[in-house]
Amino acid sequence: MLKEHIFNRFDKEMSALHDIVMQMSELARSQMRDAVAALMSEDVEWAQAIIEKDKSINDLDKAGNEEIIRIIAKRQPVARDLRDIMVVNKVISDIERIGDLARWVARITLHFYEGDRPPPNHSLLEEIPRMATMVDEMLRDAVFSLQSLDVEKAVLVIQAAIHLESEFKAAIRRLSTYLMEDSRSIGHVTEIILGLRAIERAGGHAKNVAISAIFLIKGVNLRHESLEQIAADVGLPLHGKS
Amino acid sequence: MLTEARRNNDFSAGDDFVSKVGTITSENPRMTARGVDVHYGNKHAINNVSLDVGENEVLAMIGPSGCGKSTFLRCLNRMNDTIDICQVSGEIKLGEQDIYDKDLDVVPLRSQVGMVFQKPNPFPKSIYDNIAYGPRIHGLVSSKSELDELVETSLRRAGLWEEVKDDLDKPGTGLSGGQQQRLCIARTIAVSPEVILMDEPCSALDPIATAKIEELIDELRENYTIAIVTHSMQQAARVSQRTAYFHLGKLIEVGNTDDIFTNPKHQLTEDYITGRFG
Repeated sequence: MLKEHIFNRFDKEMSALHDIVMQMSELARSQMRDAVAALMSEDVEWAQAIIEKDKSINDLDKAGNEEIIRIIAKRQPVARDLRDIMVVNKVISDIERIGDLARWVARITLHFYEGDRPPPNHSLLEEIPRMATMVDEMLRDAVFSLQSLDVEKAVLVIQAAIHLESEFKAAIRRLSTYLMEDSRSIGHVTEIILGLRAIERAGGHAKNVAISAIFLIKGVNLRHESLEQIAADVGLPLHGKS
Repeated sequence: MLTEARRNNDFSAGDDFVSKVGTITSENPRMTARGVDVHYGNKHAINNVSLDVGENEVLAMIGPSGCGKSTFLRCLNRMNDTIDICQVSGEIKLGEQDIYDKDLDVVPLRSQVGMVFQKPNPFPKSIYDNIAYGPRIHGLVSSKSELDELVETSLRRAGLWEEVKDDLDKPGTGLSGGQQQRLCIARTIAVSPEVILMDEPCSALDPIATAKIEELIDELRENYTIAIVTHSMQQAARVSQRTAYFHLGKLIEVGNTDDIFTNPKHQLTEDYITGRFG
């Protein structure tokens, strides 16, 4: 059976669109990694550069959207082609948001280390790199599941999002306790909580990418479903549920 | 850059394309076909097809050339009887009436189950007589005023009245292609059919005329049962509530049009509607 599209050009156009997704995801991941590294190394200049670099992700987002409109107008895709293009549209938005959230984390560096304000106690920051690493892996795996049509990997990303949420809640508890002991650090703690929240939201967007991948592969819309429901709907067991 | 899975369009990793045809039954069936086989001499053109055509619904039949969709459509009003080597077996009912009953008169059947063809085929008569011909020979009207009213109603329902009301005595063949096709639809409606079969009714029309026919199909659905064969995926998606996909004489999949065009269950349907059929 001939598997390639009769309109060879359509395959090329979709391939170019997926290239944009890959580029955006690589950029968003490096932005988040760099934003955290700049924060930990108190590097204001680096943080500033990261904030400026967000434009590259925005440009790709815009290019992707324009290409999607062109393809829909020209090809009127149906079935999995339609799901594919709708998924790419959603995924591009999710990744663009991750880029914005990386910029948010980069801003914390400016708030803490620009000027002569007293810097925060480094022990307050300990969850930030750990959670950011989790998000980095989630986005990597979610985009992999989308590109290689791997449902199992997508479910693992959704599972990881639940773990990330637990980490976030634990961090809030720890920081609240710290605040009770030292109320003078309220400014720093608030900033850090907002940073953690940004990282946790980035994880939420990575989870959306995984859900989009499942929609593409299986044709079922699992947005707003519980992990158990998702696993049941795609017919996969949960591995060591956290 | 495409991954290996994408390059091969290998959705099978997470997919469970099934061999089931889908729901062949309709909630309010007007016509029912069960175990229909058609042979043209030695050629097995339709292979054990069962399918309902529901009341007030548009059923679209799609598939590559030679898949049997037009043959199946023509079975629904015994148009295949006109082909000597064609043999139809199985059961096709209009309501409770077996339309292949040997005692059945096909002339009234074809007024109950009307047909619109690929190329508009108005009679070489006036616009008025194109519509009036059927009701006259079927004895559906008893006076000239009744016939006038029927001609007007039919042309109105076909969305043609305003365009031709002052030219009723002019030849039907002088109309544009789209108008001629609407005239043929008006002619079909004039004999009060229950079911209208359409065999690629827009294939000879431009996009504007096609849009008018599609709009008309949507309006006619309120009063008639419609089965349409079309080569246009977009047309099937736009006008029908149910879609049936045929391949090599077999019914491969049937379901709600919305489902067929967003998430078909069968690989063959998927490949065909996305243009991967080879």
